[in-house]
Amino acid sequence: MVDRQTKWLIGAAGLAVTFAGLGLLLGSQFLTPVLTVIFSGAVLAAVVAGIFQTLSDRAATKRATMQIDLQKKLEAIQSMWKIADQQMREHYFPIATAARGLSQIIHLWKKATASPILPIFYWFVRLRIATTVMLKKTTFFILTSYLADS
Amino acid sequence: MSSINAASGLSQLELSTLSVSLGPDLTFYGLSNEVQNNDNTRLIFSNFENWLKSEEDGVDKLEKEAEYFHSLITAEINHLYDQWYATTYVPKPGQSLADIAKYLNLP
Repeated sequence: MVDRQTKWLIGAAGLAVTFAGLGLLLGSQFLTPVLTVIFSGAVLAAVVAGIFQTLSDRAATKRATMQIDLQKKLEAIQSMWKIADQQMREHYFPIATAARGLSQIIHLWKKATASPILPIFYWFVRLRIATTVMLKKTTFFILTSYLADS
Repeated sequence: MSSINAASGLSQLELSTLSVSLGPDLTFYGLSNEVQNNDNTRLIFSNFENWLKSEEDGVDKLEKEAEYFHSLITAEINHLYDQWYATTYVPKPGQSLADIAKYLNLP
């Protein structure tokens, strides 16, 4: 298997032999303009390729920067969601659960005769505790925010 | 909540003292021991029991208010979770008491 560099070398050698043969057959008066055109074309192609490569690199850098900015924004939003989610789990879920438990246990108590009162009292106290905890946390948050603003 | 606070024999101060003295990790057995061993808690429980047996309308109102409270919070949370995660996350209103008891490690 011939590698790419060897192919280039063979091609260049073949081209050189061809032009040498043409130079011998037709003379240098014909060969000089042909070589000039080929050389100019090669230089022009190299310059154009360089320009395209630079533009492509800039676009890739811009894309990468935009992607990083987008990722940061996404992470900030996700972080906000996590905080809100944690707050809801910590405060609202216990309240909702206790309220549900209280309503259901009262419903069961009304249907059955001589049911114990303590389960109702338990859910009632749980509801009050959950509400009190949220109230304390909310008050703390409001006070600290107020102090931070002032 | 307002109906039970307004009932005779139950004061806001007593109930607030109870909710502050007992922590958020309160268990059913913990409350049962508290009622048996703490005079203040036993008195509040006794008042609560009397209120529950005498105020039928107040008990109905408390049941409806608690159910409404739960439905309101659940609807709000479900609405938020639906927007955030495109799915509801909290238990639905049809969740049974056995599921809640299991969640709270109750017998």
